[in-house]
Amino acid sequence: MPGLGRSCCRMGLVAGLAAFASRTVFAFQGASEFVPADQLGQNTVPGGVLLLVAYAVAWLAVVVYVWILWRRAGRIERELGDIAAKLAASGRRPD
Amino acid sequence: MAFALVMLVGAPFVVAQAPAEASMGLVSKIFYFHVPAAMLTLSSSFVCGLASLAYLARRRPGADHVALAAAELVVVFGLVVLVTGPLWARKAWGVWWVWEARLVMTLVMWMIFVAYLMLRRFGGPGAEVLAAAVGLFGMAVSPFVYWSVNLWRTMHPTTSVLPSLPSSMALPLWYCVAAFVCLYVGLLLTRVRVARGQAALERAYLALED
Repeated sequence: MPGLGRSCCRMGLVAGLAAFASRTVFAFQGASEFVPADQLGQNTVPGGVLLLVAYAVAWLAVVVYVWILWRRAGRIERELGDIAAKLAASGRRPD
Repeated sequence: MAFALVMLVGAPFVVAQAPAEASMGLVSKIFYFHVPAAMLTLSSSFVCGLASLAYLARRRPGADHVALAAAELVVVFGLVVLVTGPLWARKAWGVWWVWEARLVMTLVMWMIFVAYLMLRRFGGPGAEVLAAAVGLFGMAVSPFVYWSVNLWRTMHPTTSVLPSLPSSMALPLWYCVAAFVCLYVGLLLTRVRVARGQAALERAYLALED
């Protein structure tokens, strides 16, 4: 079951990322201790970085999906070619 | 597909010309990818649901191929929405995630389509019929995702924001929507072709066994 193993690895990776994300999310859920007013403002994230990450993720998702499609199409074409050759060798006409 | 990729390459240059929103500044430009991806996630869920319905009614493999392709694209574009949204929210709301109606319903809908794909992958023979029912369920959830911001009190902007955009922001947005739609159509057609090839391969293996 190599396919199942690979999928389990992928699911593990997604679960790990989700756990990390939820840890980050809950870290921002309200204050757990007193914060003096002069120490506020340390929680700012530069907007440019967030923007770049957002665009990079969108591009990456598209590129990875196109690559997966290209790999699947290549494998199918290769296997169809092999089967056509086997059918031809056995004297049958491939459809 | 090549045309869509060229349009998408041009998108950051078009978006760069758009003015930044007053309160959020530069990060508001995430909007130009987040909104088209969200539109296509919802549209694709409808494509999957309708194709699933057609498959359940007539059992034509073509409808099943379209449903499978659309479900995969819901997951891909939904992932873009679910990642770009929190990046924007971190700046706009000060938190990555809030358990409010729009965000939770989007996550639930995305997980329904992940379940659809898992069912297709590991469900064994006959899984396409069960998956079609899941696809219908996913389509039924998507109107609630859209209307959630109007039905319940949420932090997410309502659906009235888009019509109120000035033309300097609306034009880049519709350019990005057009680029994403072209990309979506290209990916859907390619994925359907791959599914058709997969079906031909399965038939060829059966012919070889006979």
